[in-house]
Amino acid sequence: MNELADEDRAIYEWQLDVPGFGEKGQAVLRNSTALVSRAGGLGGPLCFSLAAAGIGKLIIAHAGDLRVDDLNRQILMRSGGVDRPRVESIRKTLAAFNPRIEVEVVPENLSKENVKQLVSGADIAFGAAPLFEERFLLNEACVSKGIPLIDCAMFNLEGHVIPILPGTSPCLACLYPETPPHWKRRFPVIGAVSALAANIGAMEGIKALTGLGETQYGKMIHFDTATMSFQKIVIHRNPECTICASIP
Amino acid sequence: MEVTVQYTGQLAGIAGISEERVSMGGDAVLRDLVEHLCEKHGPAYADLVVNGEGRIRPSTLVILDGEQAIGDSSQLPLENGQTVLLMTPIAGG
Ligand SMILES: [Zn+2]
Repeated sequence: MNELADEDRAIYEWQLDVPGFGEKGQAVLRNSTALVSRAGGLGGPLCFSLAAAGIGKLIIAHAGDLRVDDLNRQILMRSGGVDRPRVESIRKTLAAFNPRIEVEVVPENLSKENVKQLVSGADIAFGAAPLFEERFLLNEACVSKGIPLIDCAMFNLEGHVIPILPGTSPCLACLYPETPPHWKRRFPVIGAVSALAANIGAMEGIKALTGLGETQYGKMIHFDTATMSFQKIVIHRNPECTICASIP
Repeated sequence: MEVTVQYTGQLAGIAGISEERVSMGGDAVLRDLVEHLCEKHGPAYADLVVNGEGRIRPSTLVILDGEQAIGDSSQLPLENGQTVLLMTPIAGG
């Protein structure tokens, strides 16, 4: 494992003071790679927070060109990048913010063709795609590799985060055995709601990697900003799950 | 008996509320409650919650007092004062 350099200590000084985190936690982050599926309204702030915390490497998969109507929520983007590949804005913003982390951008969304290879290089993955098909692909690949997946989602004024540890806690296919037929690609969104889900997800990921606190495996962390209500829902593995039931 | 029914996601939008109190007979099971709610809130609501055979959709999560009900929950007896949360899946990013 790579040790912390003096410059790391200088940048992360204030979080090295967090009890239970310290130099050991920082070093684990420094040596960790996170795959983020889409860096839009939710994945963007998630990447920002992981970069701020000093993750070693981010692999970010996100296709397409930046549209002007992405800018209410996709905070890694820059208005000068409209009509140009989103990954360009993502790379520039993160490099300007924290040049000490490695960022690999992939101008593709997760697919059957690329998911295995993308997950193979990661210690943890974060699901933030707006389509269940991509989330299920990531779930299957994470279960297969046995790495934690933090699934983060939002809709309107609410959101949820589901930390998944394959073989221990329910996977996404345990919860949703079929592709939800009513979900639509376009959804109502205020960026702050996405960012809230993102930062809950980022903390769950940081905890999963470093052992800080208690990662909420087996729970869905749900919030509704309309009433500012938060709850942790106990969820269960499905003994007939087609993805994870064979893991004891 | 009286139960509190809560909604999230698209279901909350279609029901137009996030919570309601519902009175049911003393021996009511979850299926009775769902049938009552589908009748009350109309076909768009019903389409989200149940499939063509009137069974709760596999992707609609039923949460009873903060814990997910698993398997075929339709015959689960309701309890007075219980909170039944119906969650439709969300994937906004
Ligand atoms: Zn599963």
